[in-house]
Amino acid sequence: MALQESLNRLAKAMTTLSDKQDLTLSGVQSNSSKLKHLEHEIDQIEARVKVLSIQEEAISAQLSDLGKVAQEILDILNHQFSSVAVIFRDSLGDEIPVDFLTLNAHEGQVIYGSVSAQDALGSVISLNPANTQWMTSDPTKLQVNQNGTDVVLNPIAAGTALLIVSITPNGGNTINFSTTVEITSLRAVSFSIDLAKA
Amino acid sequence: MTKTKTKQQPKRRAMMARGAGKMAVDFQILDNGSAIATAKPVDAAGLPASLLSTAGPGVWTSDNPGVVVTVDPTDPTGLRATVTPSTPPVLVTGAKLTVTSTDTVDATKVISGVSDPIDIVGGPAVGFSVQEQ
Repeated sequence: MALQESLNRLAKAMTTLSDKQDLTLSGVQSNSSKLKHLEHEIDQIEARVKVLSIQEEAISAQLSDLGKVAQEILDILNHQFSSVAVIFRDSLGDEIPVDFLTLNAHEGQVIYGSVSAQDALGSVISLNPANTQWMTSDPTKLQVNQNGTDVVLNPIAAGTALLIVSITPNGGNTINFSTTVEITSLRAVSFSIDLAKA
Repeated sequence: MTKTKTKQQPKRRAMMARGAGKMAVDFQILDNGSAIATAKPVDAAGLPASLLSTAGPGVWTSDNPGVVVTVDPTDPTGLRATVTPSTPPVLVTGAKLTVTSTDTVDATKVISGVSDPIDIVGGPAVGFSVQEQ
């Protein structure tokens, strides 16, 4: 009886063991599948990480570029002209209206021009003579002699010419100022004789 | 040979008639009168202009010896002159004055002007010229 019970218990134990072995094998197979799935996911994550890393580098480079652009914009804003003043004077020092500048073509009569600029805060922007250029559209009519940031204008012949001053503050943007110069010929070419009884 | 006023009148009338026809243009000076000529520099358009500082003084000439032009000594520019009939006066029609200014630095720069015609005309008769034949 005791033997029979022992045999029964042994058979039951063997059955249990067999069942557990089946479960273990099934579990191993299941874990292996999960592991493969996990490995696949890890590969995908690594690929994404690589992509993100590349994107991060690109974004970092773009941020760097944006930083430079922002700095340039700040530099420009710091040197932005809010007003440009061009003043012309005759040989006596009297100011000549600039809206429509009329020069006399008579020899020896010259016009003196000067330019100045201010930023938005009203601060005078120092102009570099190398970055201040006076030009004429027609040197056969108007001669431009630049002296520093100033200019001496010599009328040559009757007609009109465009007077242009191009100024560029350091790190800032270029501003062109232009005005039309009308050169009238007042050169004496003959005499008109008036007769009056004494 | 006798030359009387009656013989001169037709010629005189004809001359006066010509003068009357030119009244709008010719400047008339009596044979005992005088005039002032003033030269004003003008540009090509005829508008008043300025002379160069190096412009020389005006020099006046007359194309008829019956009209004498003398620069005003008080005017350093030489652009003002006195115009008188010659001595003795003669009748003149259409004489012209010329004024010229030469640049003192560049002699090629010459500015000149010509006046309107000038007539020397006789005044009212004050007597007779009688010649005996």
